[in-house]
Formats: sequence, C-alpha cells, structure tokens
Amino acid sequence: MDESYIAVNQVSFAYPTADTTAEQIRLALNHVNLAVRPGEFVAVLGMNGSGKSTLARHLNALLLPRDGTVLVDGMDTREEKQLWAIRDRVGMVFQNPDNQIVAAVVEEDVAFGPENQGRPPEEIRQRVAEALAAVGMSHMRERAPHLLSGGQKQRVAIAGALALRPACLVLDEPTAMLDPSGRGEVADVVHRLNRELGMAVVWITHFMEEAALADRVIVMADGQVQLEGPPRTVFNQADQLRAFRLDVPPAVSAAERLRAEGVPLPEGILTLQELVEALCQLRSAT
Amino acid sequence: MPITLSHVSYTYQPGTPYEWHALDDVNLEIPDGEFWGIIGPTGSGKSTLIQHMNGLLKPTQGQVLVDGIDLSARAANLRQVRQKVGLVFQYPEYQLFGETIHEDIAFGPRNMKLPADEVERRVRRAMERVGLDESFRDRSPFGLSGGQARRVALAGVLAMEPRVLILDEPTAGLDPRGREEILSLVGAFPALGMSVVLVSHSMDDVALMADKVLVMHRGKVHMLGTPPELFSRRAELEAIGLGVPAAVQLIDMLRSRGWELPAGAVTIEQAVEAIRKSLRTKAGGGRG
Ligand SMILES: Nc1ncnc2c1ncn2[C@@H]1O[C@H](COP(=O)(O)OP(=O)(O)O)[C@@H](O)[C@H]1O
Ligand SMILES: Nc1ncnc2c1ncn2[C@@H]1O[C@H](COP(=O)(O)OP(=O)(O)O)[C@@H](O)[C@H]1O
Ligand SMILES: [Mg+2]
Ligand SMILES: [Mg+2]
Repeated sequence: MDESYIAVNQVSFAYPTADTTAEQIRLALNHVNLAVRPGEFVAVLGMNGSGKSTLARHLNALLLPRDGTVLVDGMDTREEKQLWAIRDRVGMVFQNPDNQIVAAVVEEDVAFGPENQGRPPEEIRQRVAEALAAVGMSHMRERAPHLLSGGQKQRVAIAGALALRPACLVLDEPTAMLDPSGRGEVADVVHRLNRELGMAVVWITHFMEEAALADRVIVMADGQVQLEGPPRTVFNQADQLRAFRLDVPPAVSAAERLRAEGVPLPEGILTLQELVEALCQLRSAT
Repeated sequence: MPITLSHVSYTYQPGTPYEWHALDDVNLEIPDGEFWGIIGPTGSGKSTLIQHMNGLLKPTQGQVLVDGIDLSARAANLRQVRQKVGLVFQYPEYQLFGETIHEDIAFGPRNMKLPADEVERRVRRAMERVGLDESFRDRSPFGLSGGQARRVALAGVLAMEPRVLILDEPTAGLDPRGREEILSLVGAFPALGMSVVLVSHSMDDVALMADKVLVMHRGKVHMLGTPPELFSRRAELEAIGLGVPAAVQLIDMLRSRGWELPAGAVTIEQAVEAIRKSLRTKAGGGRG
C-alpha cells in the first residue's frame, strides 16, 4: 500500500437519468484516480460541470462509485458498516453558508455531529470548545448563526466538521459566495488547520490564487483528471488551463505579459511576492 | 433612462423584533450609458439597493426616479419600469422554470403582450446575444452548466429589451472563462446607450469593467469614484473588509520597494504597462 489516506482508484460514476432511452450514459466521473496523502493540501480546479462536486461527494461516501473503489484510511466506502467511521474521518463543507447551519445557536450547531454520535456531554462540550477555538469563533458561541457574516457562517460550518476530529476536510467552493474578507478568513483558518493539526485538505475552487497556495493542484475536465502537480508546474501550462476554461493566478498572468513584452523574467513565478522579487532583481541588474 | 435616488432609506419588517435599517439616506444618480460597479461587505445593503431601482422594493423614506418617473407615485406604471430596468438576480439558475429554454426566455416578452412574431424575434436576438445557439432552444433549462444557466437567465431579461441592466453577483460560482464571458457580454451594453449596474465581490472584475464604483457599508454610500480613485484608498477599503485588485497590490508592493510608478493602474494590463515603462526609463539611464 502507498501512504495515501484517501485512495480513489479508477472511479466512474453516472447520475441516474429519467431518460432510460438515452443511447449513452454520461459519466460524471470517468476512471478517476486520486490519492490524498495525510496532511496534504490538495486544490481541485475544473470548469463548471467537470465533476468536482461529484468527486468530493465520493470522498466521504455521500456518493458511491459505480465502478472502481474509494478507500478512506483503508476502508472501502461501499461497505455500509463503515459509513459512519468514514464520515468521522472526512468532513465536508459546502458552498452556501446559508444552508449548512441547522441549529439556532452557534455552539448547538457545532455540537450536532458529536451529539449524533452519542458522545458523553462532557466530551461534546470539550470538542465544541476546541472546534470553535480552532476557527476563531469562541467569542460567538452563543450567537444566532443567521446573524453572522458569510465568512463567519462558513467558519461555523468548518467547526461543525472539526467537532468530529476528521483527518481530512473536503471543502467544495467554500469561498464562492463570500466577500473578500470572508474569503480571506476561511482560507486562513483552513491553512492553519492544515499546518497546525496536520489535517489533510481537499479545496475545490474557481479562484486560481487560492489554488496557488496548495501543495498540489488537480485539474478536472469532463469527469477526468487532466493535469496534476505542484502549483508551479500546473500554472506553467497557461494555454492548457485556458483550454479547460480555467486561468492562471494574477501574478502568473502579469509575468506572462511582461515576458511577452521582452522583460526577461525567470520561469515559474507564482505569487505577487515572487514577481516583485524577480522584478527588483532585474532592475538592480540594469 | 437615468436613475436617481434621493434620501432613500429602507427598513425591513418595521415594528417587529426583526426590524432592520438596510438603507440609510442613499443619494445617487446613474446617467445613461455608464457602467457602475457596486461593492460592499455582505449585508451592507447592495441587494436591497438594486431592488429599489426597478420598484421591487419601495423606499421607506425618500424618492426613486427612473427616467423622471417617481416609482412611489400611485400612478407609476411599475410593470413598464420593470421591463425597462432589467434585474438579473443572484443565482438566477434557481429561478428558471420553463419546460424549454425558449419558453423560459419568452416569458417576459409574452407577459408584455407583444405579438407572437415579435416575441420570437426577441427570443432569437437574446439567445444570440448571450451566445446560446439554436440547439438550446428546445432543451430543458435544468441540467445546464452554471455558466449556461446564467446565460439563459440573462437572455430572459434581455428579451424585454431593457434600457438599464442590473446584475447581482452574476459571476459568483462560475469558472474563469464563464466569468469572462458574462463580463464581456454585459460590458458591451454601455456602448449601445444602456447603463449597467454590476454588484460584485470581485475587486478585479469591478476594476476591469466599471466607469464608477459605489461602495456600500452599513446601508450607506460609503465611497464613490472611478476605479483608480477608489482603489487608491486601500486602507479605507480594507477597514470595511474589502480589498484592492491584484494589480493594485502589485504596484503597491513595488512602490514600497522603491519603484516610482504612477498611480492609476487597476488592471493587470495597466500594471504591466506601468512596470514596462519604468524598466525602460531605468535602462535608458533614468533615475531609479
Ligand atoms: N444531481 C444530479 N443529477 C444529474 N446530473 C448531475 C447531478 N449533479 C451533477 N450532475 C451532472 O454531473 C456532471 C458533473 O457535475 P458536478 O460534479 O456538479 O461538476 P462541478 O462540481 O465540477 O461543477 C455535470 O454534467 C452535471 O450536470
Ligand atoms: N427580509 C428581510 N428581513 C430583515 N432583514 C433583512 C431582510 N432582507 C435583508 N435583510 C437585512 O438587510 C441587510 C442588507 O441586506 P442585503 O441588501 O441583502 O445586503 P447585501 O446584498 O449587501 O449582502 C442585511 O443585514 C440583511 O440581513
Ligand atoms: Mg460543484
Ligand atoms: Mg446581496
């Protein structure tokens, strides 16, 4: 066995259609392979409809493969008796901050998971306190969730997942509906959890600059993994990415344009900081 | 069709425990043919504001004039105003309902009691404009990709041939290309004399598209200016949870490293131009 925590092997999936006469089944996932290693931060990119959410839902057995297998910590997601063990290990956070929160008070919402597991009250209290502290929301534990900002709601949703102490957090476009500070809050919290708790993260996004901060980037198109590698390698393939209806982060795009204008910048610039360094070096060299 | 708001305030659910003052003494005038961006933190009143512009909400206090017509006046023909001021809601894909895409787009013009051939002409034109080819006509609006569904919703509004187009976060959740497509589509309208009002969380989109940017904060007009004016006030924007486009961040970082760069670059293209010029000046023996 390799050291992957989640192993997706040759997974195919099709949604059931009402139209049974359709000549061809449309595969939402088509022989997908993906390994998520412990503590790794993986960003998943892909145009609308490319299969990102379908893949995400396979990672904690919300969907089961039609072909192939998904193993979480060695457990096959198709084995029903493992279902809750799998969902404890892989937490999910979705796009819409408004329909993930179930309770009328923040701490009750976060307690929902461990309560469902039938844990003793003292342990629940402790888990909730830890989870809220981890997302920086302890001071709001008695608030009504609907009065929070979008970023705060997403942090509560993350705390709800954390209360189960998962080894991996899957976030499906968690920043799509947020304002700039909300986006920053959520990204910061998740990066910190990844760094400090060693939690593996699968982060689905349409924001290229968010993907630039991952250890590894997966690009999906048409239900398949088309590109995969460290951000520096993936974002070096601008034409390919654009063919998949994606783009490159702003710093990569600026560097690309400057090179086209004859400015001799080195390859592989990914962030604004790196671009600034490279430009300052060029300038002092002239 | 200029839109003028004078001293507009709006209170949700007045007299209940949920009472909320969502707009507070808003004054603004959007002239014909301009592209306005509206930014602001979540809950700052952006969606409430734009619903005043076509009479979906009526001010608790103050006045809204569209093409000189007072929308609060008893005699105001709100139906007509809503045709002239088209509003594309946030996540409009959840509001598609027709059996076919054609039917969905034809709903507005049919409601206007236009003759059948005129309805047909408008549906075709709207589909063409948003880049949906004939093959979409008889397809169900369900099961479309995010970007396609967004375009169907936009076509439904365009088919009423509005003079003002208002869009509430039309690119949220779209892939980068889908986002570009929607932006370049709506960016073409001001040249035809239509005004566009775009609510967005993306500073980069607003920097790229808008003539004027309005910043809402706690129900008030907090700032108003051209993108270069506005994005030069970075600290004020950050103080309310907003930011500046990547291009402005880049220019600021270079400046703090001693580069002399002129203000005003808000898009990557403009920043690249400024940097290139500065490098050339330096190489040509300029100061530095
Ligand atoms: N509940 C569903 N029923 C039928 N088809 C679906 C459903 N959800 C997604 N699909 C289809 O599956 C494909 C992949 O969708 P999805 O995984 O949601 O893509 P993404 O998250 O990358 O936008 C698309 O063609 C989409 O239309
Ligand atoms: N139906 C309602 N009842 C009470 N308050 C509301 C209602 N709709 C919106 N609000 C409140 O009004 C404020 C402004 O909302 P909105 O215009 O939607 O802001 P934005 O679009 O900038 O996020 C928010 O604080 C929101 O909670
Ligand atoms: Mg999705
Ligand atoms: Mg809104």
